[in-house]
Amino acid sequence: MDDLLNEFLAETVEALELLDSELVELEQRPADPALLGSIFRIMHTIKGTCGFLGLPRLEAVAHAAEDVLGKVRDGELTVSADAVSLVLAALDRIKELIAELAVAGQEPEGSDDDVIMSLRDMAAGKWAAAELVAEAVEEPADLPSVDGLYQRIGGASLFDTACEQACAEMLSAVSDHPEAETELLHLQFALAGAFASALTGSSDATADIDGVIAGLVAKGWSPQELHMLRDEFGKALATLEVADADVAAVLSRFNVAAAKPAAIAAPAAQEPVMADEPIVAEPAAAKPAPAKRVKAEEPAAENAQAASAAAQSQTLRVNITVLENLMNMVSELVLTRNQLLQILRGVGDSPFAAPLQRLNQVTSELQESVMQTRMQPIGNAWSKLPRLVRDLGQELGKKIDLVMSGADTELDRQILESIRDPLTHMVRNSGDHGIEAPEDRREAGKPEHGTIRLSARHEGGHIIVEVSDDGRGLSTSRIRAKAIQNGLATEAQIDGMSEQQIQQFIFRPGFSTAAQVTSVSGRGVGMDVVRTNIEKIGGAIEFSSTEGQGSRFVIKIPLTLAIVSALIVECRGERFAMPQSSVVELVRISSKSQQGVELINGHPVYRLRDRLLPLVALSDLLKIEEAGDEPPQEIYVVVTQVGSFAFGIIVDRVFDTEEIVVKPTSRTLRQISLFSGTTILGDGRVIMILDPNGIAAATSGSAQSEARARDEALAASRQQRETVSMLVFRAGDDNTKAVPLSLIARLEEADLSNAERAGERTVMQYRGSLMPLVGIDGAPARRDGKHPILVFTEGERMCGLVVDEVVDIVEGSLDLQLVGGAQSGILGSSIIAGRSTDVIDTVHYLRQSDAAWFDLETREAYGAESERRVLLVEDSSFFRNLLMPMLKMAGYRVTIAEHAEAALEICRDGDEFDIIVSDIEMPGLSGFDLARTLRAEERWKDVPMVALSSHASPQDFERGRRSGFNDYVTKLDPRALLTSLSRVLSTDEHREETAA
Amino acid sequence: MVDMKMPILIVDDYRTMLRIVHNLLAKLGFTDIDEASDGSQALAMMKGRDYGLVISDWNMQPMTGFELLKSVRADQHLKATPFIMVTAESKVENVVAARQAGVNNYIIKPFSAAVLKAKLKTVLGEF
Repeated sequence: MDDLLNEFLAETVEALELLDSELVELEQRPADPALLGSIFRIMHTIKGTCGFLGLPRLEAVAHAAEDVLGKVRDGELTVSADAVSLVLAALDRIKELIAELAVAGQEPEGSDDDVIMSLRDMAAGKWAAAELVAEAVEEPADLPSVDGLYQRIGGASLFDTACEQACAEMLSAVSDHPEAETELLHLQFALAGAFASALTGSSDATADIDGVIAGLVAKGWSPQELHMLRDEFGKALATLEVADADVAAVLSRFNVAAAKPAAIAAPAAQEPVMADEPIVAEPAAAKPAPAKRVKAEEPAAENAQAASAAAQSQTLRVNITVLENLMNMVSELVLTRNQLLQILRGVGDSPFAAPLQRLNQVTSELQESVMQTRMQPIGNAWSKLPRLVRDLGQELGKKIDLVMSGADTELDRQILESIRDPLTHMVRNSGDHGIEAPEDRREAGKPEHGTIRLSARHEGGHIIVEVSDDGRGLSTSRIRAKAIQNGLATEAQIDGMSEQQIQQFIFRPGFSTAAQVTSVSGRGVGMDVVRTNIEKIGGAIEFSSTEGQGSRFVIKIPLTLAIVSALIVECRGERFAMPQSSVVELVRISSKSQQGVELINGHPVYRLRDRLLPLVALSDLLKIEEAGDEPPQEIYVVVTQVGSFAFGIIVDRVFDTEEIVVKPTSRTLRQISLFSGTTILGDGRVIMILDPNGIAAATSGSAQSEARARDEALAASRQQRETVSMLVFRAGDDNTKAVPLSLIARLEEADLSNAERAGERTVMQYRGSLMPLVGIDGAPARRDGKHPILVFTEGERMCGLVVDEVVDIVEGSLDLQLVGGAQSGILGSSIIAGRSTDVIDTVHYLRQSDAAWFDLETREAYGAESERRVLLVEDSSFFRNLLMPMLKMAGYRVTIAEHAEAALEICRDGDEFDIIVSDIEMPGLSGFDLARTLRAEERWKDVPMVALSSHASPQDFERGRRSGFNDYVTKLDPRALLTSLSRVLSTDEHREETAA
Repeated sequence: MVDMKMPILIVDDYRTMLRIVHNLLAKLGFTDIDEASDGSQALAMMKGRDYGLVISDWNMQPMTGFELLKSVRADQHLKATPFIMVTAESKVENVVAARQAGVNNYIIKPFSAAVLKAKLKTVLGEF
């Protein structure tokens, strides 16, 4: 019996999944009789089977749902959203019961009256509004229990059979009785229905027993005949193995005497009703319908289904563990085959060559066939989605169509399982966040019905799954705001990012765009989990969206996980396999030069084109001891991509790529996350398979996270300062140097033979005054011939830097790795056009050209005769380093705050400043926030403030002024800043004087 | 007397049901029971073997029990085969329709061995 129950469970679960999607379809195509027939049939079969298995709860729920479906089929009810919802609710209950049944082996205790009563109300046409549900829940208390006597002794079939026998006996005993056979059949049904009604209290029976008896009396049955019927019925029950006590209990309901007064008291008027209604169960008009409809579904479906039925009988159910075992053994066979082939290669001419060749071939075919058994159509992972989308639409008041294509695309069941949840999540997201409410769609000029498309197809050795919708798309501004709010990026970092880049934030942990957390999405599982799950199986996910037009996810997943392509690498004599899917490229670095390998905070990074690639040595990671011999002449870097995180794994040697059979790691090693499994190479060696995810996890938090943060900052700043033009030149040595173009007043070419040497200085006539010329070393230029000269000016003064060659002017990012200091003439280095380039400090050269004279003159030029105290609030080290020397040189005493919060602290600590210069875009509090906060404080309400920004539009200017800034200047123009400072300060003094 | 060794064909597209009916028949003492998963398969099997009884579900796909019944009754060789229809719907009009199509009897699901036996008796006589 257990076996039978298991079979029932398996079969029913399958049927239920089909039912789910068919019901949703039904809502869209309510007039499809074939569909309706199919749905009815499944529910019907479940009901029928449950009765046999002694599952009264399941049977009752299925029965009630079937009744509703039956009414729909018979045209008595229309397919409404309510009806479908109700049947779906019944379906859910059935699933719950099935689930518990599967665990416990028996139905759980409890009542399904809530669902059943609602369904009965629906079937009875009483369904109007939701309050009926609440009402219905109360009702069952008055009703006798369904699984009482009636069910216990055998239910409908028993009563039907007993009535059949009683009626047959009646027919033979009273041969001259006017009842024809068909009429007896009607009586039989009326009687069986009446007993069902009397014993269960259900409302769907056609008549009560008294009514049936009254009807018989009205038709001329004598009391004797009624008694006879009663006795025959009792006899029939007894032959059907019903206990005597139960027979008595049933017969007590058949009260022949009680019928009499009713029949007499209600004579002529009631008679026709009695004669027809109790015996003929349903209105005549509805009767032919079911039979016709059943027929109607046949021709359309017949051909296709005959074919599928034929196919069905060709299939065989096999337990999954059997298949898994088979797969394992085939893997072993493949490995052995590989070993044999390896041996054969070493032997040369061998009598084993021909049979081995055959073995080789058969093994490949066997492997393919076994793989095939693991393949399942991706539609299996989609089966719940139509229901989900439908419920979602109902819940959110949206109209959503789900269009699925390529559902028969097959892939390994293991992979199927792992993409089921991510796909569900994405579809749910599309419905929840993507598709707009109908009114919004109408306003946007779109059809009210939103569409979510799901497709799958083969492409190479991969499956491409796409989830797209025609909804609102991702609102970049919301993502931006969210990213900043959640601390995923600073306003400054995000400012210059492209729309596409900002959209990728949805994959970052802790990100959710839903403005409101609905019951549908926003349960804490975000797209980051989706991405992680997909990457775990060697897949990749891409996202694109156009605001107002929709979003599209493209997922690429491998066909199978059992056999993967892997790169074999060696480290200290040990070999390892690295899944090819996560290998981006290989880089060979000669150990002599180790060119490009740099240290950041003691951790190695490699400059790969324009990226800083964190490096990790596999030997360090695995703590493999040095073999003692010479360090290798060259190292190999396996550039690995895990999510958005790229890093390099240093190995000693790289071999070939091989198709390897993945075998699970033995239990003792399983907790080591650096390995994802083991495999056996062709030569019989057992090697470990490296897990890129594990390696990434193991190394982050140390060097990797730091380098990654740095790399991200680099990427972000590159975006942010996209407008910075740099002049790249060569001077002194072969290395290129750069200077922001905005700091160069002019670019000249002059013949230095014309320069005058005045003592320690070299000067030349330039625009009516003498300009000092210096070399890259800061010393007065001592050269001849034509040379390019970069002219820097400061106030009235200027200096010319003699260089060897102007290489280029590049529109590039500017993010400084700080080195040296103001003394060296170099602010720091930056990646320009893919190369590390020194950025020179113009102030250094201005000072070098004539320090004393210059200092004095500048002070006069900007009217800063007494030292002014400036608070510089700036989060970018580059700009701090650019502006601070400039300000100092102009005679200001500069205090630095690296962010607005620090600035507030400094201000509140009691320090006095004559002026505050603040950046606008900073992480945390912005410059606007800082200004507003300070302006609200008594001590700072009148202190002049100047805003600094990388972009200064009239709107920004106005906004700055409203926040309390006196002036607004762009960062890239230090001269403008100095001018602004002196203007603001003099105005301030003037105002103070007036006030005094 | 009913020959307990006579071949019986049971027809249902739900495997669980086939097993249940099979078990019940075995319990009553029948030994030769064949199974078919729909009407067309049953019809094909009936043409290959003389069955003493057919017990068919009504509601099947693609070929229903009702269609099967009509085909059987329309076939010269098969038309005398006793036929019992299994249904989960106790609707008198269905039973009347089946009777008119020539069904020998019907059983409402679910049923016990005793009920099945009673029904078989009406079709096959005492056993």
